[in-house]
Amino acid sequence: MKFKRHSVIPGFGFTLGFTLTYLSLIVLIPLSLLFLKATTLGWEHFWHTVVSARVLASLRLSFGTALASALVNAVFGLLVAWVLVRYDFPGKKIVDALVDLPFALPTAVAGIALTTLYAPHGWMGRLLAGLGIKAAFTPLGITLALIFIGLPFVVRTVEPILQDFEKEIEEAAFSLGANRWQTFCKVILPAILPALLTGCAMAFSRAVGEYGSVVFIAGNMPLKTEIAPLLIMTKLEQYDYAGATAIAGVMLVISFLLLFATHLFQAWTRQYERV
Amino acid sequence: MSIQVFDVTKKFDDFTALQNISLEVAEGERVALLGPSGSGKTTLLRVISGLEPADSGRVVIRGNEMTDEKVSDRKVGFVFQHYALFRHMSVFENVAFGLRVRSKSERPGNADIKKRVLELLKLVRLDSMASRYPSQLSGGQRQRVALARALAIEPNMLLLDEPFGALDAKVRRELRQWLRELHDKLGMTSIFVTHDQEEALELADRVVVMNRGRIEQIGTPDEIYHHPANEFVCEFLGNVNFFHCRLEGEKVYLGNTGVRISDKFGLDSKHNKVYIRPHRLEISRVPAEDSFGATIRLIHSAGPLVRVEIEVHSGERASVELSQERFCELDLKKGEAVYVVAKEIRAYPGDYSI
Amino acid sequence: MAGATGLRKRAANQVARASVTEPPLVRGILTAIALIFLVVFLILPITVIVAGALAKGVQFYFQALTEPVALAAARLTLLVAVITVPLNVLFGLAAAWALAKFDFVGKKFLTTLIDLPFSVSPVISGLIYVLVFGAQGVLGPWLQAHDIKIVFALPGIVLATVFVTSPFVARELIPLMQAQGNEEENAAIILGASGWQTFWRVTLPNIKWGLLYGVILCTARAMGEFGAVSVVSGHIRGLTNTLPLHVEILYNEYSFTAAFAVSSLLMMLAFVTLALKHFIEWQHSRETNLTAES
Repeated sequence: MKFKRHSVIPGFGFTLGFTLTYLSLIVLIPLSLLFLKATTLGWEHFWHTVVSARVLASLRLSFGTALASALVNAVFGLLVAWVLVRYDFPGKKIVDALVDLPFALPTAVAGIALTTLYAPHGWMGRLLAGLGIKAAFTPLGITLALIFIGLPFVVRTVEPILQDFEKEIEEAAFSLGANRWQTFCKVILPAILPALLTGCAMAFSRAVGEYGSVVFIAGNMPLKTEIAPLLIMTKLEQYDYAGATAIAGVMLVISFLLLFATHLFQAWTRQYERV
Repeated sequence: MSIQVFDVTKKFDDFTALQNISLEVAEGERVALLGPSGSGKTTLLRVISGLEPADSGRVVIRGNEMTDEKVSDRKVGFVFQHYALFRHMSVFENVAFGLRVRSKSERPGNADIKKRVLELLKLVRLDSMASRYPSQLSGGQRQRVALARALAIEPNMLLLDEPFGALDAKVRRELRQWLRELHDKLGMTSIFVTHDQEEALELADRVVVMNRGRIEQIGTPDEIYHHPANEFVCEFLGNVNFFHCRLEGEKVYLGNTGVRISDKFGLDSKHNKVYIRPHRLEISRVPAEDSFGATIRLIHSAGPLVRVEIEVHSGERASVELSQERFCELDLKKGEAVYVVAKEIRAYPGDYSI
Repeated sequence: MAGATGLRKRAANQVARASVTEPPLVRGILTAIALIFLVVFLILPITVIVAGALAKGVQFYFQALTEPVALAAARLTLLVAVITVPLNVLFGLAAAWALAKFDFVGKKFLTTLIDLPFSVSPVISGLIYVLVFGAQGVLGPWLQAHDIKIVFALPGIVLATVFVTSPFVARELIPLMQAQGNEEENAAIILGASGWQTFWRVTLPNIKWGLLYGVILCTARAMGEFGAVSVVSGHIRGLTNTLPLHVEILYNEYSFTAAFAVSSLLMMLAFVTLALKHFIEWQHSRETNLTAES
C-alpha cells in the first residue's frame, strides 16, 4: 500500500507539512519534554513524589469527584436531552441555547459564581445548610462545579442520537406489546448508550483536569479538598518543578487512556449509526 | 483517432480495477462503457480524464501522449455522476467558472464570457434559469448545467459518468433523446459510462462491455445484442433463459426432452449450457418437429408484450415473450400444457462447467 | 466545547419530532425535573453574577470596569485573541485540507493527535511551556542570555492559549469537509482551476459557516482561558493579567463587587458567543435544508 492515495487536488505536501510542523511545535514537542523531564527524575524520586499522601489524596479527589459528576450528568444530561428533543414547552429554544453556557463562560467566572452561590451565606448554601449539608469548600462543592462544566458534553452528544432515533422503532416495540418502560430500557437506551458513554467520558476527562471553576469552590485544603491540578500549581509556585512534572505525567497518562476510550466509544456510536 | 488507450492496468490496493485495457475511439464517435458495478468502467473513464493515474499503459488523445499530463492540460469535459455543481454559485457562474479561472492572458473579457455562457445555456435550454442556484433546479436541469459547464472550456472530448444515473425513468428517456440530438449537432467525441444496457444500446455508436476490469466485447449495439461474444455479454444484455443440456448427435437434450437442432446453432458435444432469449421461444398448441413440452406456470399480460413463465419437463423454468395478438390467439391459461420451439439457441465455448 | 457540538450534527437535527408518546403527567414531571436542574445549575449562577456586579450600584459597576488595570487586562485579552485566532485558523484550514481531501497512512492517528489538547488539563498546558521556556527550562539559560522573555510575558500567554484552543477550528472543519467530499474540487480542477483558485472559489464558500463557527468557539475560549494562562502569566498587574486572571485577583482580594463586574463583562461575551453560535447553526441549517429540499 502506498503512503497516499492519488488525487488530482493539489496542496497535500504543503498542508500536511504545515499541520505536522505546527502540531509538533505547539503540542508534541512540549508534551514530550514533560515526559522526558519526568524520566530524568529517576524512578525512585518519581515514585516517591507520586505516592506521597498529599499527591495520592489529590489524585483520588480529582478522579473521584470527576467520576461522581460524570455519573450525575449521565442521568441529568440524558434527562435534559430527552426533554429538549421530545417535549415542547415555552422558552425551549432559550433553554436549549443555555445548555452551551458552561462551554462559553470563562471558567474563572463560573468558579466565583458557583462559590458565591454555595458559600454558607449564598442562596443555595443557606438552603443546604438548613438541611445540614455543607457544599462550598467540600468535595460536594467540587462535584457541583464539575457537574456544571460537564453537562453540555453529555447533552450535546446524546441529543442528535435521540433526535435521529426513528419513531417507527419505538412504535414497533409498542406494537409487539412492550410497555413504555420496557421500550425505554430495551430499545431506546441500548441505542443511545454508546453516545451516552462517549459524552460521559468527555465530561469525565474534562472534569479531571478542570481548574478554573473548581479552584474557588474547593477550599484547597491539602489532603482534603486539594485537586490535582491545583497541587501542580502549588508545586510550581514553590519552584518544585520535579514534583509538578511527576503529577502532570501521571495525569497525562490517565488522560490519554481516557481519550483512547472515548475514541472507542465514538467508533461504537458510529457503528450504530450505520445500521 | 481521437482517443487511444494502450494496455492500461490499474489496481487499488489488492483490487484490480482495470487489467490490460486497450481501446480506440474515433473522432466524433459516441462510445458507451457498459458493465455491472465494480467492472472498472468508471475507473477507465477517470484514467482517460486524468483524474486517476494508470499503474501502467498509455493514454493518447488526438495523437498527443497524455499519460503523464495533468488533468487541466487534457482539456476534457467531464460530467460527474452527481454533477458536482458548485452549490454556492448560480447556474451562470457555474458555467462561467472554467473561463474565469483561466490565466489573465487567456481569459476572455467579461462581455465575451457572458456571451459564451448564454450561448451554452441556450444550447442546453436553460437560458431562463441563469440566475438560479443548483438547489433550485430539478435533477434533469442540473444534469444539463453540468453538461454546459463541461462544454464551456471547449473540450477535446466529453466524458460522462453515469449521466442519467440519478434521474427517474421518465426524465431519463427524455434526456437521452435530447442528448443524442445535441451530440449529433456538436459532433463531439464522447464516452459515457452506464450500467443500463438499454441506455447503452440506444445512445452509443459503439458499446464496450466490461466485466471485472476486462473488456468482454466491443461492437455496435447490433453486434453486441445479436451476436454476444460470450456468456457474460449474453446474460448482461437483456433477459435470457439458460438451460442445462446434453448433446447427442442431432439432438439437444433439455433434461429428458430431446430437441432436434440444426447446424446453424454451432453447438458441439462439449456444451452443456445453452442460452435462449425469451422472444426467440415460441409457444404453440400442437407439437412440431423440434418442439418440447412445457407447462405454463405464470402469465404477466400487463404491458406491450405478454410474458409467460413456463416449466420444462426437466423442471427448469424459462420465460417466453409473445405479442398480445398471439397471446389472445392461443388463449393460454395457467397450468396448461403447451409445446415450445426454440428459434435461436446460443452456446459458448469454454462453458463446460457442471 | 470539545463535545460533539459540531455544526454539521446539530444542523442536521433541526427537524422537530412529530409527536410525543409519553402521557402528559410523565411529560410534565420529566420536564419539571429537567428545568429545575437547569435553573439551579445554569440560571442561578448567571443571576449571582448580575446581582453581584450591581451590588454597589451602577456607578461602582462602571468604575470597576474602567479602572486602568481592568482596561489593561481587557486590552491584553483582546491582543491574545487577535494573535491566537488567526494562527489557529491557518492550522485548522491546513489540517482540514490535508485530512479531508486526501487518503493517507496514519490519517486516523493524526486526527486523534489534533484533539489531544482537549484532554490535557489547562494547568498542564501551561506547565509544559514553563518546562520549555522557564528559567529552569530547556531553553531557559539561552533565553536569559539573549534577554528574551517568553514565560511570564505575552509570548508565553499566547503560546498557552494557542495550545488550548488549537483544535477548535480544525475539528469543526474536518468532518464538514469530509462530508462534502471531493467532487466539486475535482470538477474545478478539471475545468482548469489552480489549487488556490479551487480553495478560494469552491472550498471556502462551502465551509464558511463551519469556519466561522470554529472561529467563534476559538475566540471565546481564547479570551476566557484561565488555568493555562494562569501558569504562564506571572500575574503582573497591568502587564500580564488577562480579564479572567483579573477576576481571580479581585476575588481573592475580597473585592467581590468588582470581581463580578468584570465577570459580567465576560459573561456577556459568553452570551454573544452563544447567540452567534445559534445564528450560524440556523443559517447553516437553512442553507442545507434548501439544498436538501430539491
